[in-house]
Formats: sequence, structure tokens, C-alpha cells
Amino acid sequence: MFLDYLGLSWQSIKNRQLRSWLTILGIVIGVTAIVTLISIGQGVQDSILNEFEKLGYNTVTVIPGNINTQRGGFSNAAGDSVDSLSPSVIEGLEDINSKGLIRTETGLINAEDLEGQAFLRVTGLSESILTNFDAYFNGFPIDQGEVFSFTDDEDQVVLGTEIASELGVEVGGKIQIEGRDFTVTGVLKSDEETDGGFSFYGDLDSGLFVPYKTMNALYGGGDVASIMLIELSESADVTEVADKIEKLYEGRDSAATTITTEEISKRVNNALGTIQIALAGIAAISLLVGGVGVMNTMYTAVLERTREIGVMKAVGAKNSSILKLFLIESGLLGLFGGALGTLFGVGLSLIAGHFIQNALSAPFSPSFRPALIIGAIAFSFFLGAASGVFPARQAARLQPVEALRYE
Amino acid sequence: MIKLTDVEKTYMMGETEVRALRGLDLNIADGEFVAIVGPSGSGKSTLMHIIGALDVPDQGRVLMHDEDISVFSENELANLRGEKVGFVFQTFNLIHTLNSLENVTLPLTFQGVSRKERYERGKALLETVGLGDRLEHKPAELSGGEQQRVAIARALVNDPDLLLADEPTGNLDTDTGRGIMDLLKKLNEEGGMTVVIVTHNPNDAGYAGQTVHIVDGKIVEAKTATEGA
Ligand SMILES: Nc1ncnc2c1ncn2[C@@H]1O[C@H](COP(=O)(O)OP(=O)(O)O)[C@@H](O)[C@H]1O
Ligand SMILES: [Mg+2]
Repeated sequence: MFLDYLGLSWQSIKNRQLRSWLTILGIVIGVTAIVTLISIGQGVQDSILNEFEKLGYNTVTVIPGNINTQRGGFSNAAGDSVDSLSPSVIEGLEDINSKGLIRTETGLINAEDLEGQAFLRVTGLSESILTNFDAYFNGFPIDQGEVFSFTDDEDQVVLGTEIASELGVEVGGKIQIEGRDFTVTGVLKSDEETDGGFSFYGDLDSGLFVPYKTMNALYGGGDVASIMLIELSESADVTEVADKIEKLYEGRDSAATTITTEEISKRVNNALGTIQIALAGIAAISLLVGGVGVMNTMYTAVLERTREIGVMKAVGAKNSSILKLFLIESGLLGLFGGALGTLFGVGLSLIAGHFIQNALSAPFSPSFRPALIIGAIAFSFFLGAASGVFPARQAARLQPVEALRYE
Repeated sequence: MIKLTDVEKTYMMGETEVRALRGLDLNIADGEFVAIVGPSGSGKSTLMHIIGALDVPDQGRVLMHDEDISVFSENELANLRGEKVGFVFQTFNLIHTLNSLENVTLPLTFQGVSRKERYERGKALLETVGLGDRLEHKPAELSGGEQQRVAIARALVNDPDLLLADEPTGNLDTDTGRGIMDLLKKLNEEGGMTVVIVTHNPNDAGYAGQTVHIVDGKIVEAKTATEGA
């Protein structure tokens, strides 16, 4: 029965092909725009979240200062700017699997090839950073040589590729930090060479990395970190522990703020979600126009086929049969528009994704969630059908005798 | 089979009332061949529509097999037309996007008859009206006479008790028209179907048993032929 009606509706759509194409154009454009925007947005969201997920959902990042009382920079309770915190504060806290420490200072650097001296950022890493938290440094990808050994008392350094060439040293070469001799044990891969990924630390190419302990020897103070990464046990309630940590630092010289992957994903989701909704809303206007187009076409169809409707009624079609016929027809128009728009949208975002990938030099692909594809097509069908409701009702209510007299 | 009593029908043409039927009585027996004649605008089509349950009178009663259809709902009327009535129109009124077979079987589609059964019935009927080789043709590819045969096949597809034809030969040349009339006569005589035609053509009227002459929405003369003319 439904198939028969579908057949009849299809005949009349086919019969006025050009008009049908023009009618669905609005829907095609709207759906193309929406599918493209959402799949690209979702792709962006996915790749950002993917990076954060590398850190793991049970990782808490602790940074100095209270982000809530922030005034032009991180600050402590007294309002002084702080750039370090004491790792010992959280000692004894339950649910902690491992703890990674990062300490950054500005160091005085000398090298043979360097004219004069330079002040550069020197970063100390505790061993657990490389075993548990290397995602923070995008895997800490060594290009040449190897990572310094954490046990040796010898002073060793790993350089970013840019710094290495600026200082004119290679693996095995020497530089001086604060007047002390350091052997270069390794050089990191340049950012361009790593295939994608993202360093939370920032630019690795211009980094100088030494063991955390060495930092203490160079700059003093045994209980100082710039960033602390904490991995919690699987069973821990991350948010709860994060709150506990912030509490422990409250009121101290070195206030601290915690960042959890979950919180970040929420923020990313919120921010990108809002942008996407706004963009999709704009695209939806074109859909609305498409719906009006379908309505207009269907009103015209009712007029043109008034006699035909009369004939159908004369041979026994009920009002509901006519209603169904016209609703199916307008629904079909919507469905075709939606299917075509989805197809174009997928194509367009694949092309756009290619450009984005090249621009970011990071792997990127748009994300086509089944809900998006199915939703877009289903929505278009309902939009079409809904746009046909009034014309279809007008058709259904025609008096057969009047309809047959219509010229 | 059909009994009209004091039937009135008034249409509004803008502000003016058009009294298409003004108190009309008519009896049509089962298996009868009736011709309705009269000048243009006298209410012939209106009368035929009311007989065929396509329209209801403003006043009066229309009994079909002792059931008063003048009080039927739109749905009941549609069912009645779908099951018991077949219409043939002067302008054929085929649906131009559908081929002969689809046109003929359209009434069955609305009855929910299966595709296979529709096909078989449609094909058989088109063969009966001599168009067995035109199943896939669209109306535009058929001559007037052929189109009217398709229309007759369509009117017969639901196996109606009552066949109504509004000036069925009006758009056809004399010979073709005669062919159509012979076909209707045959259906009446051999199939025992009640046939009511509206016509201008005295030739056509000659086929009828009962001829009803109406002027200004009233029957001025109803005569029954003693023997077929
Ligand atoms: N739906 C209608 N609306 C308005 N006037 C109508 C309608 N149907 C018929 N009429 C008028 O009623 C009268 C009878 O019409 P009709 O039954 O078609 O006559 P006939 O078939 O004898 O030519 C005519 O004057 C016609 O204009
Ligand atoms: Mg007429």
C-alpha cells in the first residue's frame, strides 16, 4: 500500500524533474552546510580531545597559582605572582599512583659557537615524567642519541633541534649551563617531523632538558616544581582528589590549581559545541528556506493537479489517501534533498579536512557520526513532509465535483 | 436500485445562486440503460454526480439499494464509489503521468488490492476493450478513442454495479463514438450492469431503455423505449 503510494508520488516528482531539482536545492545547500560544519567541528573536537586523552582521564595537572583569583597572571593568596609550588604538600595523599615533576628556570647558557651568552629556558624532568607522562611532551621523541640517564651524577642535557643548531652542538657535544659543563646526550625530533600530536609543554624545538635533580643542584631548593603531573589509581574519583589537592595548597605561599582531563574535555566540548550550534543555526536558516520552497512547490502541485485529485476521488480515493500521497511526495523531496546534501557535505568536509590537515601539518579527519548522517537525512524527510502538510490538507479537502470542473 | 426523491442542488457562483437541480425524482432499476439528455447547463452532470455518490444533494433523498446515501460521510461516499461505481468522463480524465495499465488499476490501488491482482485485472480489462497491446502507453501516446477505452476499463476495474458516463462520445468522432457506445451496451446487456449516460447525441440516446430529458434542473420528460431502438 505504502509502496504503491510511493510509486505514484515518485511518478509525479519525476514528471516535473527540473522543478523538483530546483525545489530541493535549498534543502541540499542547507544540509550540505550543516553536515560539513558539524563533521569538521566534530573532527576538530575529536582531535583535541584525543590529545587530552593521551594524558589519561586519571591524570591531574597541578599548576602554581590560583586561577580563580588570577590577576594578570597566576598569583598566590597574597596576590603575589607565583611560578612554583611545593610537591611535598601532597605527600601522603591517597590514590596517587605516580607523580611527575617539571621545573623550569631561566638559565645562563654558554657554548663554543655561541657569541657571548644566552638566557634560555631550562627544564628539569623527573624520571616518572618520561615513564608515565611523556604524552605531556608529545612522547618526548628523541631523534639522535638518547635521553640522559637519571642515575648518573654526570651533567647531561637533551636539546630541542632548533636550540641544538643555534648552539652549534650535536650529540656528544658540550654546552655550559650556569657555568657548569653539560654533555648533550640527545636531540629531539623537530615538531615538523613528528606526525602530529601536540606538546602540552609548548615548543619542544627550543627546549633544554635536564634531570629534575640537576635543577636542584643548579638553582637550589629541593621542593620546587613548576608543574606537577599526578596519576591517580583507576578507582580514584579524579574530581574529588583534584579538589583535595587544591585544598591542601589553599592559603599557602604556593597556591595551586588543578586541571583534569575531564574538565578540559568538558570545556572543549562546551566551547566547540557552542560554536557548532551557532554555525549550524545559521545553516538551518537555509533549510528553512528549503522547506518554504517545498511548500511552494506543493501548493503549485495541488493547483496543477486539482483535476487529477478529482479523478482520484471519483474512483474511490479517500481524503486520507490524497493526504498521504501529497505528504509522501513532499517527504520524498525532503529526503532526496537531505540525501544529496549529506553526500555533498561528506565530500566537502573530506576535501576541507585535507586542507586543514595540510595547514595544521597534523593528522586531521572530519568525523561522520552515524547520528549526524541519519539525523540529517531523517530530518530532511520530516522537514519535507512537514512543509507539505498544508498543501496536502488543501488537496485532501477538495470537493471531488469542484476538482473535476477545475480547468 | 437507485431512487431519487425531490432532489435539489444549488451552487454558489460568487454571490449568485445557481439552482442546478430543482426538485427531481428519478428511478433507475437494476440492469437498466438510462440516457440523460438536455441542453447545456441544465444539470445533467450534477444529476449524474449525485447518482454516482460523487456529490450529495442539498435536499431530498438518494436511495441506493434502499440505503440513503445523501447522509453519508465523505469517507463512506468514497468507499461506495470505490466499490460500486465506475465513472467515465467526456474528457477521459486519465492521469497523464501513468500508463494505461496504471490508470486502469488506480482505483484498485486505493482499495489496497495487491500488485499482482491489479496487474491481472488491469491487463484482462484492457484486452477486453481491445487495448491488450497498449499496456505501457501513456495517455498522450493514445488516440481519443483509445483513451476513452482506457477510461472505460478503469471504470470497470472495481467490478461496479453502476457505470456512469458523462458525454462519453463528446470528444470522439462518430465512428469511434459508436464503438464506445456499443461497448457500453454490451456491458449492459451481457454483464447486466446498470449504465447511466449523459449525452447530447440522439444516436447515443437511442441505446437507452429509459431516456430522461431535463431542462433547468427539472425532468420535463421521461420515456421508456418499448424495445431497443
Ligand atoms: N461546482 C459548481 N459550482 C458552481 N456552479 C456549478 C457547479 N457545478 C455546476 N454548476 C452550475 O450548475 C448548472 C448545471 O451544471 P451541470 O450539471 O454541469 O450542467 P450540464 O452537465 O447539464 O451542462 C450550470 O449552470 C453550472 O454552471
Ligand atoms: Mg455536463
